[in-house]
Amino acid sequence: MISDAVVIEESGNEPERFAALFDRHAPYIHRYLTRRVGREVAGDLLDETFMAAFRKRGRYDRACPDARPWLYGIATNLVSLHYRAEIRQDRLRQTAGPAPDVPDLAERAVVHLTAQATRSALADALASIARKDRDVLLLIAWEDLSYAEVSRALAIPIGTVRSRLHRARSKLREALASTGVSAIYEEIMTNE
Amino acid sequence: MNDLELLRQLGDETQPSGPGEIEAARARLLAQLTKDPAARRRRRLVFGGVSVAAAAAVAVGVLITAPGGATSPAMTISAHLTAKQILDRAAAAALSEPAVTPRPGQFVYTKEITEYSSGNIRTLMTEYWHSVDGLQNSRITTTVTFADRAPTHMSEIYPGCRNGHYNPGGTVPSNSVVDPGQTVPSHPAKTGACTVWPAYLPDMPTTAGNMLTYLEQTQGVKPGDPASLFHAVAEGVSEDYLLPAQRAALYQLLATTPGLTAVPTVRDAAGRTGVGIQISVYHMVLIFDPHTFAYVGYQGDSTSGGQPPYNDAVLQVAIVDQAGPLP
Repeated sequence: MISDAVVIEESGNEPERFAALFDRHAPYIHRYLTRRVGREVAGDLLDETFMAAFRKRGRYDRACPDARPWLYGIATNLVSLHYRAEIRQDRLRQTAGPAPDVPDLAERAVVHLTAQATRSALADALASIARKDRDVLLLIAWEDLSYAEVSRALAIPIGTVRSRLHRARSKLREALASTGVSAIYEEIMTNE
Repeated sequence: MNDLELLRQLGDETQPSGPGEIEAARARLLAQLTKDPAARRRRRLVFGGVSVAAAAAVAVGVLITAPGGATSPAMTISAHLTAKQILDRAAAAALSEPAVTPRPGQFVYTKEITEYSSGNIRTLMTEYWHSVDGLQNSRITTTVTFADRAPTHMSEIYPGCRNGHYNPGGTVPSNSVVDPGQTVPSHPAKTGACTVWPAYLPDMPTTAGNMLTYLEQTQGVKPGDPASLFHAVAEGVSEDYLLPAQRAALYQLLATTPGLTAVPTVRDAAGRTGVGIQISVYHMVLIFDPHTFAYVGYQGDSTSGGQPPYNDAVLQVAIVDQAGPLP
């Protein structure tokens, strides 16, 4: 199979070639975005991820045959921008008076989840983790990226990946222990 | 169950993406990729072997034959013009051209030279027969010169798009321009879904006032953002064919934009000297003939898309009935 690096290079002259990159990776990036921002917004961010990647393709590091970590990195930045925009809007709404039917931001701010108590508690636990640490944690736990791939995706040294993951996991364990969710969740899973 | 496993369980509960969602996103992406005018021009860099014997073309009118030019007395006058004065004269010059409206089924013929200032490719001489309505198969032939080897001649049939699908008859490019030593994987034939890509946009307005609204709606121009307007006008004037009034409307609109500067002398890819217009934040210069104020080409934006710096010069534009050599 032709490497992503070659496809990206060819798309410099023939933009349609970039669709091949989409075909290879879009299902993964879309699932990741769905996990992080919910299905409703994931479609928009998927569009933005690939358009941003297309615009930046001239700066792609040709030494990396697999583009997926790069795409995860772009998607992660867009998730962050998306939530910053939401927080700004939320502040505006608060200034303008109470908004109807706006769910608690802490709940939405990390993962899009149904109202189930367990998930909500897990979402709260994730929300308590610093954003940069959380990005590392979720790329590893949900997307099975290696330390090296996370390092590429987020453009941070591997040592930083390790330390952020360590911090994120400590915080997660701490938050889960305080709600007792870990035990409850395990019970549900073993019952099924 | 540890914390990571718990988190994984949660992630696994996410429903996989539906095929409809991915397909729709793919169609949106493809529409964007083929819509990008800069990308369209670069498409001409891709070639395929072609064995079509073209029928004799009938030129119905040669609209622009840009003059070969060297410095002349007119230069010394035009070199002192402001950006607005240059654009006003360019608009007046456009309006003095005959208003030839291309008919569906015809082709806009353009001959251009593109010059790269770095990289192995030195120049491209492109002849292009672009379907006026985007429904016919277009033809592109290019001669490429290199720093390190003999020139290559290539051509491609770019299929027209009817009812959302490419026409049959598009050629599968058998080779493309690459550096020595690189292998070229075969490209897929252009089949399946497509977006119509006409050479001429009859809906483009003919007054500056309507043009702004049009560019905001179709080209992503943002109010109060002169750079986005400059970009859109630059892409507009390098379209394959504009009615004189459409061209003038673009110039008149641009003339009202703050932040433009004139470039007193600028060389185009054909070696002609002209006067230029640029805007500080956008690295592209539009070049006009210093005598006739006809648009002759541009210096490319070397900071976008990872392309090497390049210049483009229009040598000839005509409307013809067949996609083949001029008589």
